[in-house]
Amino acid sequence: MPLYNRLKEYRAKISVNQQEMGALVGASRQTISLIERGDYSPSVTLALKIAKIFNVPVEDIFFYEEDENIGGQE
Amino acid sequence: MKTQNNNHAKIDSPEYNKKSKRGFIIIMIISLLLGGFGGFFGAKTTDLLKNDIANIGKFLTDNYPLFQVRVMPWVILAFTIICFILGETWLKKAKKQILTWDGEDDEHIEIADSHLNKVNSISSILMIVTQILFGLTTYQLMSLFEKTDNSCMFEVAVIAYFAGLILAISQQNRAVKLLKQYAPEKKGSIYDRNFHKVWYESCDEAERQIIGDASYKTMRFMTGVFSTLLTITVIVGMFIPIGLLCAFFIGLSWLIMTCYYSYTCAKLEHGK
Repeated sequence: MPLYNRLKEYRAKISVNQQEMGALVGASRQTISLIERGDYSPSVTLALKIAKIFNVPVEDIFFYEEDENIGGQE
Repeated sequence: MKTQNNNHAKIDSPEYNKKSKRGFIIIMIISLLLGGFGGFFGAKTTDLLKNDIANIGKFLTDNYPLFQVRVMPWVILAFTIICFILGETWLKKAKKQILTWDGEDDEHIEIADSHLNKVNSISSILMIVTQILFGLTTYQLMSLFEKTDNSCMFEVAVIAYFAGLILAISQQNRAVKLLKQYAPEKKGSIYDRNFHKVWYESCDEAERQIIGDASYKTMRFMTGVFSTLLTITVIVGMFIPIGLLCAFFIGLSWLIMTCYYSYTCAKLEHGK
């Protein structure tokens, strides 16, 4: 089941590029790019680090398809 | 998730296992029949073509030294030059993409990455192929000098071989330097003996997963390659004197790869 994310959206809010985002969470620019494209699901540790940067719960950034449908309905 | 679980249940079912077993037995029987008939007709054909095979063998033995000194050095030189030109072209293209990168646009870096991967591939190919070609050139070197008087061509081979190695390493070094411009977290010097270890340690989880997946796929692919090559050399060796070492070294390489893979998996499973 694919893991969706709003990482690009949140990244734009704080005006950082992928390389800067990677430096903030200890990942490479390539990994941030892979996550945003949905080609890679981050580990729990990385997902938590990303969420901490934006000061939001992990579920606000990463979610499954079912959650997206629920979010849409709301 | 439900569909995935259903698929796993199907693959694990006794019916699927029975079907797979049937297919496996059929393939074994067909292989046995092909091997049996192939061996029988191969032996018959070898008997009929005994003289032709011997003549081909003699032709190769008599003329290979000339091929070694007159053709092989130029082959190594040409291959080195072609690979070097290709590598330089891709390095230039990668550099152009990196210089025009605004720090945000993915496309420039994806293109640069693709070019740098090509540089690494071509330089690795250059190193390996020049070693193979040099080995073919220096086959029975001592008796070669007795049979021919073109020793200066051998010097061309030596120069081309070392030039190939040096140019390949130089291109790999420049590719690594360029990559570090847009991936500064990467560590390691190409001249360091532990370069691969240091580089791997500077990779993050996604990059390590890619390396792991690629390694596993390579291992599976090489298992097929080794098994095919071993089968071919054993069968050919029954009819043509290709030497004992072919099958031995192919089998040995396969064995080492398999054992080391199993050992590494066990080590990683136990958290080491």
